[in-house]
Amino acid sequence: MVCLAISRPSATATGSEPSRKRGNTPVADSNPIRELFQGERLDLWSLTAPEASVLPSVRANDRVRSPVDRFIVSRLESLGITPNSPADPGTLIRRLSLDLLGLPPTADEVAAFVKECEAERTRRTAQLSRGNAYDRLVDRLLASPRYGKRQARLWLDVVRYADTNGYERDEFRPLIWQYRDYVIRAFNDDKPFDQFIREQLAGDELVPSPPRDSAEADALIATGYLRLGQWDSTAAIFQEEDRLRSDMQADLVNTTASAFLGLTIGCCQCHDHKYDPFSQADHYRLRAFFAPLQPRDDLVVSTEAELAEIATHNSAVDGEAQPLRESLAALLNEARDRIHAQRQEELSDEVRTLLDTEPATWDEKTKAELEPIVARLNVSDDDAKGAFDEAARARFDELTQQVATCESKLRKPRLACGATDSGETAPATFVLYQGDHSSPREEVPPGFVSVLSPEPAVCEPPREATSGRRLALARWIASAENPWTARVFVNRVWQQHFGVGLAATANDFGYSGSPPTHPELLDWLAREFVRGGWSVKELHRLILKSATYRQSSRAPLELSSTLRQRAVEQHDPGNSLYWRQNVRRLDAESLRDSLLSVAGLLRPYDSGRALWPEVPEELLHAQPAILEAQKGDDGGRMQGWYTDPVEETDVRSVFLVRKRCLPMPFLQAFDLPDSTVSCARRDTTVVAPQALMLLNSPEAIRIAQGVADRVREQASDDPRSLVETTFRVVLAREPDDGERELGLEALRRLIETRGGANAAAGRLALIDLCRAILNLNEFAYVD
Amino acid sequence: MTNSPFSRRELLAHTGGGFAGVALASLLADEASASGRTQVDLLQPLVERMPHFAPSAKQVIFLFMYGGPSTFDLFDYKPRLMELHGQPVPASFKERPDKVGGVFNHCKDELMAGPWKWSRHGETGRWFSDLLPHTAKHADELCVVHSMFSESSNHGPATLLMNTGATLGGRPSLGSWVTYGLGSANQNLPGYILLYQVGGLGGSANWSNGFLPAAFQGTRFRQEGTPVLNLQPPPEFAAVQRSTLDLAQKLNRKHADKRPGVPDLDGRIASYELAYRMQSAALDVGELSLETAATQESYGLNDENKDKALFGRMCLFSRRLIEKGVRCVQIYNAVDKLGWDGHDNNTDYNRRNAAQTDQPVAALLADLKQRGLLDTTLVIWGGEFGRTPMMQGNEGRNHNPYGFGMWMAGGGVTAGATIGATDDIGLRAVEEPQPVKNLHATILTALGLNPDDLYYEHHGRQERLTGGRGELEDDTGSVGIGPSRSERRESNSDSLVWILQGSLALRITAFVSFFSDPLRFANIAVEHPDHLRDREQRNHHLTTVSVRQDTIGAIVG
Repeated sequence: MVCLAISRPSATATGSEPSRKRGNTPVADSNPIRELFQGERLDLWSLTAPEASVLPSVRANDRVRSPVDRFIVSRLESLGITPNSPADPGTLIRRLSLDLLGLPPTADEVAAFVKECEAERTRRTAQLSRGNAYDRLVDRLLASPRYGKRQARLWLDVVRYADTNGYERDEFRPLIWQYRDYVIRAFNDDKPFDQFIREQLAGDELVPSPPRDSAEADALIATGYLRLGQWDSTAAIFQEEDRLRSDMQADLVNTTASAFLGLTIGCCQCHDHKYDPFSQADHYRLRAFFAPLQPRDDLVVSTEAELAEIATHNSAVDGEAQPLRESLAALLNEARDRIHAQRQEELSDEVRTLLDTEPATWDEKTKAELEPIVARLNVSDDDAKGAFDEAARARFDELTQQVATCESKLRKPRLACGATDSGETAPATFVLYQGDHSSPREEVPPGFVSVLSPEPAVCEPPREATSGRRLALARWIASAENPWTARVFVNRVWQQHFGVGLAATANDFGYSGSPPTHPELLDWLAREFVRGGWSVKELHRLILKSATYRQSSRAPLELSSTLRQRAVEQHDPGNSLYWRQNVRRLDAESLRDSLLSVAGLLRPYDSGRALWPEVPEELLHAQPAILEAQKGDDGGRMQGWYTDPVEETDVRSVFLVRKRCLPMPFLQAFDLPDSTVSCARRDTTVVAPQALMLLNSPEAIRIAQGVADRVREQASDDPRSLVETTFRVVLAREPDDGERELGLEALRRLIETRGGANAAAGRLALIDLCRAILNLNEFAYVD
Repeated sequence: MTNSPFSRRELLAHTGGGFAGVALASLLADEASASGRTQVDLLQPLVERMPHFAPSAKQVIFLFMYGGPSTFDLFDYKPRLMELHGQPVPASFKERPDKVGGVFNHCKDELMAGPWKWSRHGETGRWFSDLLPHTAKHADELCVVHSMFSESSNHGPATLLMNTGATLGGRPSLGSWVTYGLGSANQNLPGYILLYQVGGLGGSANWSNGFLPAAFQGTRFRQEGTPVLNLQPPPEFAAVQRSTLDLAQKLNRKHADKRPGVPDLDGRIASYELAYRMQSAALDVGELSLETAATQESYGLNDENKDKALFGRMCLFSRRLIEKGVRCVQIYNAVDKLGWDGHDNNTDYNRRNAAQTDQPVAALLADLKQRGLLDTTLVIWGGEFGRTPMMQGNEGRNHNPYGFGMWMAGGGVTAGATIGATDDIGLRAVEEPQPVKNLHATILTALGLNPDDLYYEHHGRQERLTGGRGELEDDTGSVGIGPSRSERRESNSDSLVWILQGSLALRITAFVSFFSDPLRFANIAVEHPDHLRDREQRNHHLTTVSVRQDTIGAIVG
């Protein structure tokens, strides 16, 4: 039975966490859900755990550089297609840099790599034993801190990261950037992916609070994942909290299922899945894991040691401040006593006597008379200050200032936006009729996808005051036996390197998604990934070292001129079998980052708060909530747009604020996905507004000017040198003869149009030239 | 229970269809179901696509009345409310619990009628208050729906619902769905254009393409100055734009020639030429000064009320865009955050917004009609919800999602028709309550798109503007108003919905005019390619694998 296969303990379990808790083993027999669905639905390819694959044999062994190639080449050979030859080194370094770093290589880096490869060709055997230039390049790129920024951006798409709440007010989330930096660190440090999963879903259940070290602090910050969905802060005003809670839980379940499992469990909000073997109850069983979730904006992520240090520091500061505070109090008391005495004086004897009696004995009339007097005798600070003489006032101001200076040295613990758990008081979860939050039906316990595991999940609280529900879910997802988790992630990484996944629908491993083109390869990669301790960097190496990845992207010039081309034409014109690499357009962030990089404008920024780029004022005026904030009417909710100085925002795009109601126009033009749902894969549309953006926008002009400045620095005044240097700065290569001629001719014409050979015309014409080169397809696409 | 005094059959007869209409409707439905998925060429995403059946409208203008107008102060005549002015809300209106927040919270227990003079207009004798003297002149052109309801009493979610069909952001907007389904007639301009001074709450989520390709997102045109952001380079680069572009294109050509079989590269070359053409096309269309003085005057462009002049510019601009073939235009009326949102002194809000919008809207209808564009342009007027008849604060009105009015004109809607009604005080829709998805379905239907067949596969689901396939006809009044979804199903009512009433009338009109005036639809091919692909067939097959209703029981025990 399929079910047995899944429950079979795997020899490949690794990682620091036990991969499965006792009691969460699927029940092999009498699974009522399997009995109900039966037949075709249970044949879903992704329902069975990845199987050990026999490496296929191939005829052309010289085409095999990694086991990956065996799967690809054997398939192609069976159709009479030979794969493409490798791309040239210049193409390879550009491809690798953009895939792994999201930035193009410089001309010098290209030249050095090309030289190394050439040297290697002449001394082939000697080099092979010590690893070759290509492998060294892969290692160097993976070790670069820039890698994490690129890899994080891809993950942030999957988890629909944004810096604001969305909806009407779309308030800023001032602490959530720590989650973004956590993701960057996780990829740079090659944190095992199973641990990465567990921390995001249940970091707070894994480690104590306050954390003992920075690793534990990271586990807490990771729970920011649970807070990334939209939140409507106005729901309470209109008594719509129930709707909001239901919307948010559904969103969290759907995102978790898409991001980690590639399952479309959102369908099951209202009814059983139309195609896949998932019941409506499955959606709500998953919801139940999140029922005790407590959103927190005050998670302390300073470590114990840091807290102790802060406490020591603060008590020292307090020690310094205390005498000052006491002097202040003395000054006030002295004045207060004086006034009190004066006011006592003014009272009649009768009143004074009455005041000495027990207030409880006062009748209504007496009370009405005496209460204002009592209040007046209770001298206020303001009254006391009013009675200061000049010397006392000066002394008071001085002391106040000193106390403030002193207290400003007090340090606060570092806080993060994340979540904890309400412990044993988890509210009940009900199946909602038609998904309607006001129509609860059967109560459901937390449970995994029932076709694999119909029993309720066993959730053991790891500590007091936490239910262990999310931890149970996290462990089930991040286990080697889960048939989806590893496959879904290796497929995402394949998509990163080829533009499309082995299964083309990265968030849908169900019947309505596309089945994998190479299921054995997907399984092999998934198992290797788990076997390698869920190392993402090793996974990259497995794929990048293959001849398949290194192939040229060129299609044969004339189809059907040879046997091979006929086979291609007949069997795979769309290249779904990888007889060549795919030409891919840069995503929005890589394009912007690459532009800033070649213009020499990209600033180092590795971690920290979100930066606010300049956007046209009229876009801000067009947003009611932002308008309100600009007028100062948002009650400090941070609904506005807080522009940073333009030169400070020339950083990697991953650090730019992602405001849900106002995506940055430059990025939006190049298919930035909506940040409210998990994005499986970026669209690549080709539309005219993109051309307008790259030709005319202030950003594009500034970048062209930046490039022109660099060209001027590096070139002589000779037009030939200007053209060649522009190619080198932007495209990291020399122009060929034809390109040089076109460039020279254009430069001549541009200078003429601009009024002939004077300095101003020459300066502007060079910017024109740079604008043209920056708009080339060669710059916007990876070959 | 049923909310309609008519049976389905009576209603069809009432709307001119009769039995012939039923037969025709099923014929049309068969035709529509034969059409498959919408096929989009990402290199020419806006190229015109065939509708599912002969449409009655080719283009849409949505006049979004931001903030929530109190429509019983405008065109939903409530004499009983006037009688009860100043009195507590009669107990009978309080008996029904409301699901979406309590409508009586934050309001006084005191009804408030506006100080308006009401009169009847046109042959239909439609009531209008004196707030809308200009719109009243088009009384017979309008198809008024008095019984809309929303699913949220909160601007953000309700605005999203009206624009995207869901209270949670992230879904494609109506305009995106329409351009996705049909493309646009003008390839030099975006297919879905927004005009606003201040956009809706939630910002771009309201004109987002959601999960549809980005080409279908709304593009804002500015009613003054250069219409599109970045349309022109800075002045010192304008004169050499063509030479700059020529160099890039020549180099791009050489690059693409070495890379056959990569259509994106050719597509990008083409997109630069389109951008170049768009620079002049967009400038031309924004040149409102080309209009005659009389036209400008009629829209109020020279009015001393600056807000009215501004809204007038947007209305006139929208007509110019429609003339150029743009598929969908949406105008937001607000000039600041307030719009119609009169929590205090609602009378002032009504006066201000009516003064700003009434004349330009009427001028737009007249102008479209005079140019023969109204027949094929569907104009929609309405906000995200209505307002309470109870007083809030200082003579204000609170949000009211339970019943409010909208109107449509042109585009084949039944001129002079009235659909549904609110109760005697204008608080709740009580006759034929219409969820927003019925409005969306009607708009799609007018455009020749079957709401069930306009879908996009995303995360394994066929996503639609109007929800799941077949949900429209058995599933209304689900939230807040009327019987709940389950009650309806359990009572097995003949839940007559507006999609049948409104849209069938539309389809029939379209069909008839197709025969009487085939030229009008000359650009619409009649045959549909068979788009059914293997996977869909497989999916179809899978749906026949029975899904048991007791799967929950199997797990819950």
